[in-house]
Amino acid sequence: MKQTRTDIMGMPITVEVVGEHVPAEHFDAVFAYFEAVDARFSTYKNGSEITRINRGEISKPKQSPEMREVFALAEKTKEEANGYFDIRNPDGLLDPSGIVKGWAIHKAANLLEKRGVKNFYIDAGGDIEARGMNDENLPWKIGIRNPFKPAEIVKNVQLSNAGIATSGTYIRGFHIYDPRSPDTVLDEIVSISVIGPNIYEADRFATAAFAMGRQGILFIESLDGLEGYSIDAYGQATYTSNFNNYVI
Amino acid sequence: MKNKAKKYVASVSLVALFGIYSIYQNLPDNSSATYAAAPVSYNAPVTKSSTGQLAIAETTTTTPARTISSPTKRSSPSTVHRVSPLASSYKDGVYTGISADAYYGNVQVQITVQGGVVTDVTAIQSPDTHSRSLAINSRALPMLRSEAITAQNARINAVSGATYTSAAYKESIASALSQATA
Repeated sequence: MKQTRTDIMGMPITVEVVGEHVPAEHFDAVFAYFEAVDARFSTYKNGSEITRINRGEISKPKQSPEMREVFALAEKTKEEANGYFDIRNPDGLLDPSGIVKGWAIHKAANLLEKRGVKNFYIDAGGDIEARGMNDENLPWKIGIRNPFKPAEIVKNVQLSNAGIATSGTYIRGFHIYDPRSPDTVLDEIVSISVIGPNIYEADRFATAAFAMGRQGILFIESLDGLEGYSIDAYGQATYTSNFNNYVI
Repeated sequence: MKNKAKKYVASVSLVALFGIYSIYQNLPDNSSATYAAAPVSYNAPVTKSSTGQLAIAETTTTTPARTISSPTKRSSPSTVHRVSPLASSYKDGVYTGISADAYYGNVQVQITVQGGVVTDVTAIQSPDTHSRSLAINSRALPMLRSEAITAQNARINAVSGATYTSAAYKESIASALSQATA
């Protein structure tokens, strides 16, 4: 059984659970969790905790445990990614969305497993955590989208108890400039997909690796337990040494 | 009601723009979109130069070989592209779209209309890039591999991709286009 919602966090969220008679409350619990995360972490909501922190209305000691956890994880990621990951925008405001998505999907997957659900995946905007097996009792089959033709798949991987995240841009042909360095054209790497032990790990490192451009795939290669597949502006893919272990 | 109509015009224009763009992309002389190059496969040992920059030494390659360490020098970015022959006519000018939420950050585009057609789309804000130096602790002899991407036909359960980023760009482009039709 599968349910999709498109009204949370500005992206489609799909939950698929193997089985014919999955109680609706399992789906409801997952979507309610994402709604709560959105309400707390959205920088586009006036009353969210993150917006209020950015307005100086909530002092450090009064931040929620969830907010502190995310800030700590963002700091850790910043160090591990050699500064290529930063939730502080150039304008000085905090925007933890780069870490919240993967973190929330992983937490939602834990929540579902605690309810006794074993075989499922959660997909939020193309970032996926897969647990157990699919309806054929095989690992979940996940396609990597062609950044030049969104309806096309360029790679199929199988995942069980793992996560896959893709970071990139699908606008092609138009020049994308680095706003801080207007002479640099950002069309070298158009997408990078990262597979990790869970979606939290895959997502945060996919984000950092994409910001590194061509060096990003080397960064993924340097990390244990992570594999990556990057695609450049010419449609040439470069992938890590053990990526093929996941390829169907 | 007027807003709805505007939105409709913007969406239709956007669909048209992307449609024309995809045709444009498939034109044979557009080198950046030709990715059906002969498959290239090589094992590339990574070495670290004295400057700390990582480089990839190519060992074996088949023809149109591309090293991934040395970005191909291309003609300097031009601000005016091939003119898209859009059916509808826009008012000349430069229009800035809204800053749209790409979740990892904001994206914002600027479009240029010349002679009633869109001649350029530039991202003036995009959700990535830090320009600090990169130091990587390479695990022993990393072996990257390379291939030309090819379409796959297997039955799959789900798809990984950065769809919402694209949605944010579209949103920003749509808002810029709606100003050009106003």
